[in-house]
Amino acid sequence: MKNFYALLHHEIRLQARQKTEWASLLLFFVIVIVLMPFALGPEPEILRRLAPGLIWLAALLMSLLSLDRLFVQDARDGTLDEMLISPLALETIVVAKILAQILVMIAVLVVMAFPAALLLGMEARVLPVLILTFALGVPVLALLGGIAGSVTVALHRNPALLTLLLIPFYIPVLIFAVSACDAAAVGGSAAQPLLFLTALIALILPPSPFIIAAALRHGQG
Amino acid sequence: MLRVHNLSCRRGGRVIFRETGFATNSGGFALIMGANGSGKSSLLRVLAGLIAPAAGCVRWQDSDVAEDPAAHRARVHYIGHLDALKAGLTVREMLDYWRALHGAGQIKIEQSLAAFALTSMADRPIRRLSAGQKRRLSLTRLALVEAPLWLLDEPTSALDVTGQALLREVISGHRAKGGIVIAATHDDLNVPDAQVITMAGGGR
Amino acid sequence: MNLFSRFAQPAHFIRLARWLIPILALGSVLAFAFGLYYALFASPPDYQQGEMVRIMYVHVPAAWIGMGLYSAMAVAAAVGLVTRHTLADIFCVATAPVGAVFVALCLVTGSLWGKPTWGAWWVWDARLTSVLIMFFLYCGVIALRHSFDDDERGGKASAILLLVGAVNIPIVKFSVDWWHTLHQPASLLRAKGVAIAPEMLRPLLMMGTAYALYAAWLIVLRMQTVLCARAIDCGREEA
Repeated sequence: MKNFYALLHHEIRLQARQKTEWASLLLFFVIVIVLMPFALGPEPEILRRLAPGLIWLAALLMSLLSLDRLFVQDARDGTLDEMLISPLALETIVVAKILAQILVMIAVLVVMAFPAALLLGMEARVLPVLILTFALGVPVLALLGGIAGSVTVALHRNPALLTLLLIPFYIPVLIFAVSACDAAAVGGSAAQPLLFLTALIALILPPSPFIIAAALRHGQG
Repeated sequence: MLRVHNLSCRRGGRVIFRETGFATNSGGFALIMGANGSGKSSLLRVLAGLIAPAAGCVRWQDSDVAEDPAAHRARVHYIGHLDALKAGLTVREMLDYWRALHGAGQIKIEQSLAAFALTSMADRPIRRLSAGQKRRLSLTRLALVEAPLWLLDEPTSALDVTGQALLREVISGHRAKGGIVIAATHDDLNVPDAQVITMAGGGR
Repeated sequence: MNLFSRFAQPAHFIRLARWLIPILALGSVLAFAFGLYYALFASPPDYQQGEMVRIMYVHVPAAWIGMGLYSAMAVAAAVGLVTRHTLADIFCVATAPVGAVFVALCLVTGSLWGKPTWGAWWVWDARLTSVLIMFFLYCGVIALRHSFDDDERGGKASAILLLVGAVNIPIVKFSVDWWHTLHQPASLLRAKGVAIAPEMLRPLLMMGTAYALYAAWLIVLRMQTVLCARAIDCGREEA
């Protein structure tokens, strides 16, 4: 357990040191949001109604962009070998790595939700639900991204392939997250889609560390 | 002691090396020689347990390492071509990470920094280090945690004369304690009693 | 296990394939001849949809085969990961494009059927969306498999993806029951018995058999090709 915290601390520190990478991801997120009124027209009513979906779409694209650093960077600089040779269980190292990614990504998205909501004129009462969907949805995105990243790690860099592999699995997250926000926007209960999101986490969380570790081990040729 | 029996390695249906065998006693130094593409790096990766061999086995004190991979990982230090460094961290933070990765065990951060003459740079960001300093930092892993089997892939690349001397010293200390070193390198690290293993490649 | 290992030997498979290919080819041609005759001429029009219902005979079997092949690939992937038989990977390599084409056929014929009956080429309904996702999964498996030069690693990577993607199979199957969709619920495999007129069921099952035989023919043919290509590669390597 002590080792796990040390690893988690390291991974968060590593993410925190990559300020330029995160800054460019943030900029990407904001630009996607800013482009929406040009694509859909500036009518406040339309933007208000579509705001949660648009914000989630931007978050999804941002997470796709940020994923290639999950294992590919480690493979490229040799850290992956060190992880594989470590006496600790590879699953532990993988969980620490993905948990750090999740925490940083949620923090970033929560901060960015405010200006994005402002730009699109989203109602204030939707904001807590939106943040809750980030908290529930981002772990699923990161775990799925971890699986896809570990499977493609031997290919080094192929973002288009990663996107193709991930999009089918991202669709349920998008559906439930946006329907929770939509329910909140019309004053209804968002409980059901939020429970579905929780169920997705429950489905994907237990097997994914083992899948990722197995894929990383087999990726060595 | 380490015994290698009839080891073969295939990658993508291609034979990298076949039927390689040797034995190294504790305190021994094995030097792997061979042309580019003869499978030196692959042999080290198989010995480290990173790649499963296509045939043959690796034995440590008469037990097959494939039977208990976790125990084998705990006894191995593998230094590959790549330095395994994160540019954003400082030297000390990098060592902290390796300490976490290697779990418990005897940890000697200050001594290992001193062994590779990095004490004065402990708080310097890794991106400010020169290539030789980075290589020295990468080699610090060897002194950080005790492990009886060292597998070194081109350990002297980018090292200057002083760096090579430091590495030689660390290696002879390791051998004096009964450790085994297996290295693939072009220059022979000036080890007079090295056991030379010549790789013939895929045997075509 | 012994029998399985015997047939999993590439040499045995090649011998088996030599027998199977003409049989499957003949069988699928005959089944298509009968099936199409019954589907297009010797079956009654629907009392609501009229002649339009005949699209069913090309649409529904395509969906069955597309889904069935994905399930078979997922099983083969699991077997391949456990037993390390190369034939499992060869099956997946051979099957993925065939399955993708059947799913695409299902989507296209469904779209052609949807326009006159629902008034739209496409609706975002749970069944349609989950089948579209299955098509993307097929594309992902094909793309991933072809990105690896190394057959062993590529096989493992795509096997993992296939198994993770298998969660979609129950979603496709039960989407019409779980959500109230525009797409009609299952008529054949359901708890309360078959809900389809026998004179329509007969051509449907015939077409299903024809599709299955045709798919099997293509897959065995492709597996033979892949095996030969690998043998040539190995020979080149050894020489």
